[in-house]
Amino acid sequence: MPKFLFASALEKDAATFFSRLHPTTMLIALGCMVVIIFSTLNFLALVGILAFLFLIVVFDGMPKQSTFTVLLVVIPLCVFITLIQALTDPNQIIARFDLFGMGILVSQEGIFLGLSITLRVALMALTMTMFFTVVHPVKLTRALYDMGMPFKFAYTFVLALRFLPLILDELATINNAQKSRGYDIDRVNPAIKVLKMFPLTIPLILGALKRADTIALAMDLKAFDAYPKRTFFIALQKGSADTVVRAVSVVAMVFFVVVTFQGIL
Amino acid sequence: MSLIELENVSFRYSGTSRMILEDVSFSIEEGEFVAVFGEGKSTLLMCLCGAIPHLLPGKFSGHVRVDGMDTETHKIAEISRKVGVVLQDPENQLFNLTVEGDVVFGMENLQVPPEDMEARMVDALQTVRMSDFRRRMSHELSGGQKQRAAIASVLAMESKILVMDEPTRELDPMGTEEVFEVLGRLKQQGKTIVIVENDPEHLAPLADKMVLLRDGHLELVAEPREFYRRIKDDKRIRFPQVTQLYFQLEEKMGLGSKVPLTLEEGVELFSRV
Repeated sequence: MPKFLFASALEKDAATFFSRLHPTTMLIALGCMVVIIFSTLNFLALVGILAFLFLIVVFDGMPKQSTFTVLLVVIPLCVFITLIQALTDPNQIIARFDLFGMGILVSQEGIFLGLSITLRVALMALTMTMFFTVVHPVKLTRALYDMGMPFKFAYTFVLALRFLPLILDELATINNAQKSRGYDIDRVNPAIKVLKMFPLTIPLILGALKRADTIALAMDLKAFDAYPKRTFFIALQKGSADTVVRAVSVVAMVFFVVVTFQGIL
Repeated sequence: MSLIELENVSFRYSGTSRMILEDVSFSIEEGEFVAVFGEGKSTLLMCLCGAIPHLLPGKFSGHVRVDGMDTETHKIAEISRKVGVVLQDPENQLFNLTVEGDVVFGMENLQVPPEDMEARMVDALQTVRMSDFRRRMSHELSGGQKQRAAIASVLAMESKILVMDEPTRELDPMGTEEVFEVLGRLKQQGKTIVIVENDPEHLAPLADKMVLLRDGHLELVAEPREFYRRIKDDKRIRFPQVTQLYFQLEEKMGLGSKVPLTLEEGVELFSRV
């Protein structure tokens, strides 16, 4: 189970500054951060944003290991992107070498562009992880509902988080059952492992469809989505910190967009 | 008027020609604990909670009235205020991340005012002895705890009737014991319970009435001692072991007419011989 997705918000019960904020505030901050990340490809600016996010994680008391784990996940993708950019960009060639009779050119501009794109991917991953680490999924559902999203759509996120561990457990059970019959996917190379996974997904999908039917029945029997309005046990509160964070987020976003379009960054 | 009334209820699922229920009529009084056996028992429960005819496709005829409400003419949400349902697999009935979220889920759907929810949740969790688990993640609970949380989520909706479809089928003996302990407490509180279950040792002492369905027809409705006596040669129904022993020795030893349902009753009866 990818526990880092919501561990902090649930287990520490709103123990950090950001997890105490209204989910709508966090959605605004997230939106602004996404715009900022996509507004520039300046390498130094992106490094600065990364350093800023590091400071937030450290000083807000978010679980560092689980939050930063996501960076390890995107490293292979980042290396791949940088390599492709370095070898395909025709500008500012800094090295040439011969590989199987082919002339390979390495571009400095390509390396920086690749690293910038890489940083952008890493920043997006880190920002989303931080968001889901501090925002309680149920509060997020409530906020989305308050913003006008139909509850059955807003609730999908909670439902997915609830049943993800169950589906992973079922996959492990199917895997173990097949192992006991000599079908071992764990001690083969990764490419073959992917191919050998396909037969395992069939019982998993069939089981999930059957379970989905029962879950839908059980939810209907509890009057899910039966009335246009519903009440909520959890109350959302907005304080002065929300106003400050919203204002800072919007000002920062406007600043970044303006300086980027003026060519300063 | 009875709390639950079935009148000439018939049903067959879409795409099949076999009648699962045919002309079934009986009634259940308020506060009764009723166990249902035989073929079509789960379908019967689905009729009681309105899933048939509203959610499960098929051909339905007859009338089911719960607390004066005809299940065919009322919406499932209205019926859910009267009838709470607990299904076999607790995993499929806990949709939220925490126990607290699941217990309030039905109340939120039914538009219960937020200020009333806390008291109802505390009551429900106390009844199933899950107060300490309120903030626990649902997927971290044991099977028995999950089923008790599912029962609490139904109790919090304050429905008069509790319908349970093999609630211990997926549970280990410890989990089964926990669920039946809760059911005993609910019976004492006067809750009307209709249950399909295959555990005669636990069921027999609790049941006020037992219902047997055969080939879609209602074959027998009787109180447990009478029920077991009337079907004592039916190998398809499991008996409490002490009841089975009684029927095997009844004539040889002249054990009297009171059929024992529990070990205590058996010990008392056999020690007198």
